[in-house]
Order: sequence, then C-alpha cells, then structure tokens
Amino acid sequence: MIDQSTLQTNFVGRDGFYWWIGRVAPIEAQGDQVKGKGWGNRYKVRIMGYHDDEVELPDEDLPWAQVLIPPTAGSGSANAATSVQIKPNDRVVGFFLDGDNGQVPAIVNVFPNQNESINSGRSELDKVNSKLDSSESNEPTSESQPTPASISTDQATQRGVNTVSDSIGDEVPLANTAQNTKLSKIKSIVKWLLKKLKQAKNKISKIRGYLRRSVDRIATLMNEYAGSFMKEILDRIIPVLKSGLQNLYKLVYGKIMAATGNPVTAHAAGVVAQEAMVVPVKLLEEQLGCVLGSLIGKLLSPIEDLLYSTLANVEKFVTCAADQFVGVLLDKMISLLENLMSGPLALVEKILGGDFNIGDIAKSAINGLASSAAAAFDCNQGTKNFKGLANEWIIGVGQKAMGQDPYQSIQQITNIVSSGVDLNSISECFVGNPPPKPPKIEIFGGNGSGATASPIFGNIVPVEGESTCFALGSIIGAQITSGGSGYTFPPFIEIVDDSDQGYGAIARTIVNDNGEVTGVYMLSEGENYCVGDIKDYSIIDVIVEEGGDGYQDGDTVIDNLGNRYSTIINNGQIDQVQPLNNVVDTLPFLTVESDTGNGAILRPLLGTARIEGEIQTSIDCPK
Amino acid sequence: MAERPQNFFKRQLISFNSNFRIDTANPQMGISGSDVYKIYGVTDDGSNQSHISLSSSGVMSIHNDKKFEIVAGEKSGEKEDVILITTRNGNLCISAEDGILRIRAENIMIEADEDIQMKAGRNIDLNAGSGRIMLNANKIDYDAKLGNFIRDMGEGFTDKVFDGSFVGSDVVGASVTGPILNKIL
Repeated sequence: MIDQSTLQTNFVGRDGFYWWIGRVAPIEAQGDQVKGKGWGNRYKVRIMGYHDDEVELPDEDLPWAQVLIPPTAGSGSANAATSVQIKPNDRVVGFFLDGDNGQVPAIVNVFPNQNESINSGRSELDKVNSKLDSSESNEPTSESQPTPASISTDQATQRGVNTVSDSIGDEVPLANTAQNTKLSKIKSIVKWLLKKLKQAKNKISKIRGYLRRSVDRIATLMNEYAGSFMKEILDRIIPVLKSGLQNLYKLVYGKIMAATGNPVTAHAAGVVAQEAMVVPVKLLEEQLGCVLGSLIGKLLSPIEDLLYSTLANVEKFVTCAADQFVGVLLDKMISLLENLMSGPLALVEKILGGDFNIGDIAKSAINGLASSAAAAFDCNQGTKNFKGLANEWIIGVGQKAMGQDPYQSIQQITNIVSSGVDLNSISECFVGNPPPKPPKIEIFGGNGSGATASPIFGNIVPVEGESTCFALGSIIGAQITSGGSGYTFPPFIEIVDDSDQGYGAIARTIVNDNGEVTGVYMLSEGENYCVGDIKDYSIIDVIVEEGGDGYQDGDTVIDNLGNRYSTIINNGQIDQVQPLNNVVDTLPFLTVESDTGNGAILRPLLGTARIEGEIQTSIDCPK
Repeated sequence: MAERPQNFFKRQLISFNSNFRIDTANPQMGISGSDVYKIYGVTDDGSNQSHISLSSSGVMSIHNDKKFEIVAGEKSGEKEDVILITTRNGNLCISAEDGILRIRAENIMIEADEDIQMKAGRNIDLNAGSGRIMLNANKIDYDAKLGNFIRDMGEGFTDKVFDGSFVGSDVVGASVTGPILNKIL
C-alpha cells in the first residue's frame, strides 16, 4: 500500500483546496511586522481547528499568514499600492498555500465586525480617538462608524455624537460700512464666550484668557460709540460756547459801562474778557482729543463686571439680552464720559452755563447709532450696493437673517439707558434655556420686504416623555403667508430654531415678476425640529430649476413615492411638470425617467392641499 | 407619522484608521443637510480636527482647528497671476474676528467699479514713505472739529467758538497750545 503522503505535492490546488477561518493574533505577537522591519503583508493568525490550544501553541509561535489583495489594490509595482487593512482580532478567511500540510496560510478575506462584536483591534499603539466614535463595527447602520457630524457643539451634545468642528453654527460678523453692526458683534463675542466657558469647565487659566479676550474685543468695539458721543458733544458745545462768549461780553460790558459810563472802555473790557477765554478754549480743544482714549481704557473694568454678571444670569444670549448688555454698557460709558469731561469743561465753566449736560447729549446720540456716517454719499450717488447685506455668516450654513431691525434695537437700548436698569434686574428678557418650540422662517434680502412664511413639517415622529413638543420632524416646505413686495432677486431664507434643537433645513425662495415671493423649496429638510401646527400639504407646484437636455415626448417624472407627473417638454428640455396635489408627509424627490435626456433639476413646491375638484392654476416656470 | 427616509446602503465609508476617513452619502443630518462627502482627519490626541465636505444643500466647507495655508507659485514666472479667489456671483467676505487682516505685497492695487467704503472704529492712518499722498476727485469733503488739518484752515474748534466774537483770528491763532500751554497752566 502506497503511503498517501508520498503522493501529495503539498502545493495549493494540486491535492485539493483547504479553506480555513482564523483570528488575527494580538499586536504583541506580530513582532517586527508592526515596527516596519518585517517583510510582506504577514499576520500571525490562530486558525480554528488547527491552533486551538493556546497553551501548547502561544500567539508568538503561530504561523505567519500572507495576505492576498484584490486586483484593484495594486501590488506596489510602479507605485500602485493600497495598504492592507487587517487589525488584531479580525476574523479572517484563507486557504493553505501548502495544501494539507497546513503550514503556509494565506488570508483572502475579512469578516466585517458586527455591532455586538468584541473583536477590538485596539492596542497601545492604536487607541480610541477622543473625537471619533469608538464603534468598531462595519455594518450599514447609523451606529456603525459614525463620522463626526457637521452640527454645533450644543446640538452634538444633545444628540450624543461628536461634532466635526467646534466652529459650526457660530455666527461670524461680516464687514458692513453702511450699518452699525456693533450690536451683532458684541452678541457674537458674548455667545462665543458662553460657549468657550462651557467647554473650559473649571480650567481657571483658560477661563481668564477667554474673559480677557472678550473684554478687549468689546472695549475695542465701543470705540465707535465713544466717537459718536464725542461728535455729538462737539456739535452741541460750539454754539453753547459761542453764546457763552457773547453773554460774557455783555456781562462785562454792562458792569464796566455801569461803573464808568464809557462805552469804549466797556467794549475794551468785554473784548479782554473774551480774549481771556482763548487759552481755556484751546486747552479744552487739546483735552477733548485725549478723552476718548482714556474713556476706552476705563471701560475695561465695567465690561468685565458686566460680563461676569451676564455669565451669572444668562444661559442663552438672545437678542434682547444683547440689547440689555449694550444698554447697560452705554449707560456706564456715559457716566464715565461725564466724569472725564468734568475737568476739561471746568476750564470753560465761565462761558458754558449750567444747562450743558454731557450725559443728556450722549444719550441723544444713541439714536443716531443705527446707521453709519460712512454710508453718507453725495448727490447722484446711492448706497444701494451696501444696503440689505447680511451682517453675519453662520459657519456651516451661510448668511444669517438680519434679525431685529437695528433701529428697533437702538430704541430698546435707548430705553434701557434712559431708565438706568441693571442687567440683574431685567426679568422680561428670557435668559435661561428656552423650552423647545417650533422653528420660524425668516426671509431677508432680495431688495424687498414683507415676505413671511410658516414651516411645513414632515417626517414626524412623536416625542416620548414630557416635552413642550409633541413631535419632532423635518421641514419639508414652507407655506407663504405673505409674498411681500419689491424683491428684485430671490431673497434669502433662514430657518430659525431659537431652542437650537433642530438643524439641517435649508430652503430657497422663488419670486415672480411683480417682486413677490411665490414659493419656497427645500434643498435639505433637516431633522429634529419641534413640530408646530400640522395640516395637509401637497405638492402645489414643481419648479424646473434646470430643464436639462435631450428629453423626448413620453418621458415622465416620477417621485420616490412612486407617483408619476405629466411633463411638458420643449426642445429637449423639461418645460413644465404638472403637480399632483397629492398630500405628502415627506419631501418627495423627483427624477425624470428618460432614455435620452439628462441634467434636469426639479424642485417640488409644497403648500396647502387643494380641495378635490378644485381647478388647478397653471404652472409658472422660473424666468 | 414617518421617520426621515435614510439609505445607509448608499453610504460608502473608507475609514483608514482612527485618524482619517472618507465618508460619502452618509444620511446623517448636518447643519446644512446631510453629507454628500466628507474627508475627515484628526490628530491622535484629538486636539485638531479638519475636514473638507459638501452638504446636500450645496455648502462646501474646508475647516481646520489650527493653521491653514495655501501656497503656490514656487516655480511660477515673475508677474504671473498665481492664485485666484473669485465669486462668480455674490459677495466675497473675509473676516478676522479677533485679529488683524494683514495684507502685504510689493505693490497693492484695490479697484472698485463703483464705490469704496472704509470705516474704522478708532483711527485710520495713511503713511506714505518717500512719496506723497494724493487725493484726486471732483469733490473732496471733510467733516471734523478737531485736528491740525482743519485748524490750519481756520476752521478748528477754537476758531469756530470765537467766530463772530470780538476776538480777532490773529489772537486765536497766536495763542500758545499744547505742551507750552500745559507749562503755563
């Protein structure tokens, strides 16, 4: 009888094919391969059914398994290469290159990890990264390998995920010479400070640094207010001093005339009295130039106090809190200005009169702060180029709605300054964490005004437990409640969620030839918004953003819900798409079924569902 | 009631390691929509994240927690235009929130087809070295009440206060000011 072993070639495929399943040994067993001093792509593997006894065969003594890579990976020849991605503990599949001998294993595939897998590939040399989820699964699920999300840190905390950047959602004030944007800049600084303090937790040195930076930045911004105060004071004081000089002359003239009865002597005495004021007025002129520098320097301490007070009282720096902050700061600034001006003004006390009140003049200057002197143009010129600009950019999103009218803000600030209220005593402005409430839609820019819209909610899921929201959802459209007027281009639109709960809804507007906003379509529906009123909404129009090319009669538009839309095609382009007016609760995605055409971009426009049988209006395509 | 439709079968992730990944068609919602793609990197200690991404609403972002540089032209020709930053429509916004916008070049040209507005909260300084400062316009206006420019034109603060009084301009102009005045007083 011939020994079978002598007939075997011990070469792959010649004596059968021997598959195996094994587990890659821990990194400590991989020797010089880890240090880059080995050769080939080799891993120590414990193969099931062959190396089951870990005592008899420790990890270090396991055979090396070579790795075979797919043809697309590149062998390294001519610089074509892709690194092998095998980690300790991976479950791998392979075969023996030496057949039944089972001494030369080769790895051909890896089992992807499941969520509940305990096959951690971590080691001292490959630890969990603090910014990446620790998931080691490889499945098509939302929990598997989540990438840090493009949402704000607050939203990330609420959702229990990591953010891709701490900057996302922050508001960046933009240059604007035509409008006073100090308020939004100060708001941005305080919001930044609040965020940084949350992140810094108890790190005192960091907190001090953030505070110092914020104080300096706010003090710098107050320069413009100081300049406005001084301009107003200069405008007002000159006529007062002129009048005072006249009165001085009259007073001296009268006294000398009464004493001497000589008008020439009386006049000469009056002139001398006026001349005696030249030096004090000149000195006042010199000192006025230096007051502002001192004023900003002395503001640092009040700003710091105010910031501490704000941090103690305010969790969320909403617009009215910003108004209060600036109002209280201006009030302190005016008090300081009164003190600083008292010395220089004493020099000209004789001609100034008792009614001249620096505080009242500075307060009256606040009303002029909404606009900017730099916007003043000559005749035949306008400020159209610089009007209607967004004041802020939201990182990750784009321009932010203008929000409160600066004149309204200034009015509120004036009231705060006039009443002399303190930040601590103001209760009407909400300073805590607002309860979730439905988002609102802000329409701004486009050279027009007055357009309003309310969100249409979809993808609704009920909220379990106690909440002011009964459900959460996406924004799948917007119902125009007023078209406004005067729009020369589509205005911008912002979904504003004061509770910072929802995110991701991005919309665009459509205007007609009459300058009215006629529709809003969604580029992204977002999620997690507190749902407000729910009504039946349907697709009332389909906007043909781009008509594409090469379409033929008979091509139809279909949505992801399976609905078909009749389509009008002209010269190979999609011209009109007839809406179905079917009620939807999710944002449909429209595609064109065509063998020849491509490039069409269609946007469904949602609105109040039409009553069955109602005559449909014709479709207006964007010009 | 329905959840937002999400297709995780469409997602294609290549996570190279705990430092770098490319994630495409991830249905996870971001602040401006879900990610069309995201190229993401993070240092071992997590202190610096960076990413390049495109959101479903069309915002392309390049973020880095620390420094960022764009360098070109090492081998370009002299006077060659090397870097272009342009917007085909809309505004170009540059912002340095807590710092200085520093622009340096051998020569600087700023040209506007219509208006140029410059505004400073405090000072605007124009310094010319060996040459001149030229203001060339059909009309030049100024509006100020302090400073030597208007004082030399006889329209300074003191001039205006004494305008119409019995004090002659020679007396107003001759009066000592500044450090000398401080010594007198």
